Amino acid sequence: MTAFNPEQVRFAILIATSVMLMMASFAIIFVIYYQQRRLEQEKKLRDVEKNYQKMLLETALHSEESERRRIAQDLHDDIGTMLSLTKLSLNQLVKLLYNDSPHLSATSPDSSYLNSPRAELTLNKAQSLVEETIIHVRRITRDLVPTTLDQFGLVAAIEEFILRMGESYALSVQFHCDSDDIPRQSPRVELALYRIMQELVNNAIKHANCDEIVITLHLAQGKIELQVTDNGKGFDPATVQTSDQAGLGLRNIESRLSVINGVVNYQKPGIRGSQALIQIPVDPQRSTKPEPLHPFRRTTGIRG
Amino acid sequence: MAYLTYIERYPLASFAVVFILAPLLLGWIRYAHLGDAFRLLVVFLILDLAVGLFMFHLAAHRANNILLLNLFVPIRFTLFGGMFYYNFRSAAIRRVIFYAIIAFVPFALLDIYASNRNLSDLHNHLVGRYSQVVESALIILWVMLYFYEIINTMKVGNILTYPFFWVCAGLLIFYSGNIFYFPFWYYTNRWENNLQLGWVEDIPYIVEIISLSLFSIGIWLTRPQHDSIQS
Repeated sequence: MTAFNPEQVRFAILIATSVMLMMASFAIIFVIYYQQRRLEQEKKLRDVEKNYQKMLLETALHSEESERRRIAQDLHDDIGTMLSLTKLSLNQLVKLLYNDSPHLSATSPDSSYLNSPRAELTLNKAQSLVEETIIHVRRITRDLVPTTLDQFGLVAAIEEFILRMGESYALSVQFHCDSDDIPRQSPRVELALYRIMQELVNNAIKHANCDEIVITLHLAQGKIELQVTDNGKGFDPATVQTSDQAGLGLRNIESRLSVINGVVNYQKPGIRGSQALIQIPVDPQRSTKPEPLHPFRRTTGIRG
Repeated sequence: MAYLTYIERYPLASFAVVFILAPLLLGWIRYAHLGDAFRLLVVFLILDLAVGLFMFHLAAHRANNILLLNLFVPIRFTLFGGMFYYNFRSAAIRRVIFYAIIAFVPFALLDIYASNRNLSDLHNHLVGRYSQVVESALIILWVMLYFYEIINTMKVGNILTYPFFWVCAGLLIFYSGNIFYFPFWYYTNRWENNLQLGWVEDIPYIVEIISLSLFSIGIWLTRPQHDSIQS
């Protein structure tokens, strides 16, 4: 015991403990500082990556829309024109053959053949086929580029979409909207919302086995809310989203929403059915004045 | 009366025992959200309180309470080691911790035996000479390795809201504050011819209160999302 001088021991313990405590405090502060700094760097890196991903997505969506416009224009200008000319030619041919038949030579070897009911039937069939093709081409063109959306806005485009749905499918589609409340948005926002609505309705028809779809569009707390509800068999969004095969449509919706800073929330309204609620922040007001009619207006650089 | 006299003579030592109730109470409130590591911490706090109160009782009645402290050392090391075992991601370090726990328990018991020639003489029972120093060195090593893992793997979102970080900070302060003092416990805590160090003897209680405060922060920050390694 006497080997220790209490004063010296006290001093030694004090110095050693102080040094140890300082080192411990330094270690703790260093870990906090270093970790926070690395976290900030990682956050910056993630932001850059996120912006890059968003830019890529935006470019991909823009390219997709440009391609749709190009195809629609080709269909309208080339195929549509040619089909119209074909229809005109067929009409003239019918007129030539049957209305002007007295002028045809009775001795002509083909006259009996051309005047046969079978030939008339074939011509009529060709005429109706061409007319049907023209209608299909117009429908495809309209589906590819929603010109109403550009000119009259989202509400008009959805109304038109529902009208066309009624022609093609035997199901009830209702649309509720107070159009005065919804301000015009930037073209990309309106187009994204329109495509999302299309995707949700198509999903409901294809997968939900429903007979009623209700679409509502309204403004709530500075956000545009688009709600699509069906009375089909419903689905579990978590399962669909994690599945490799399924959920492409839902991922598509999320991609489009990420570009316009929107969110989607899936719910089950009752025992049956599903409900998707899309919310996007309202952009600054866009002119509500209808733009000049340019059905297939090209954006710069669509066709290299 | 004996208790009051003891509190009057050793207020800091008495307060350190009572202060265990703070993290323990928080542990009771947050118990549903606690992961395995924090449950071990709660077990430690319960045992620490029980041992502390019993030692307080014996000290107030002027009876030797060192045996309790000696027996508590391997238990404390096992519980703290277990906490790190559950939190480390590296399998190699987990294995090292596991073997260290297994090796430390007999070492601590052997140290008690070696430090006390006559084990049946409880009146003159002495603190183990080396076990607490070895325990301190190992726990400081686990803490530093854990800090390294945190900054190396970036597995924690915001470290200031990560509960186990505060527990590690508490352990680091406690063992850093005691590592150079523990060797002298053998000479200071004895009935006769003890080494009188004056106010320096209060250092363990001060660092214990600081570490218990840091444990409290850690337990308070425990939320369901912090149970997993990723937070």
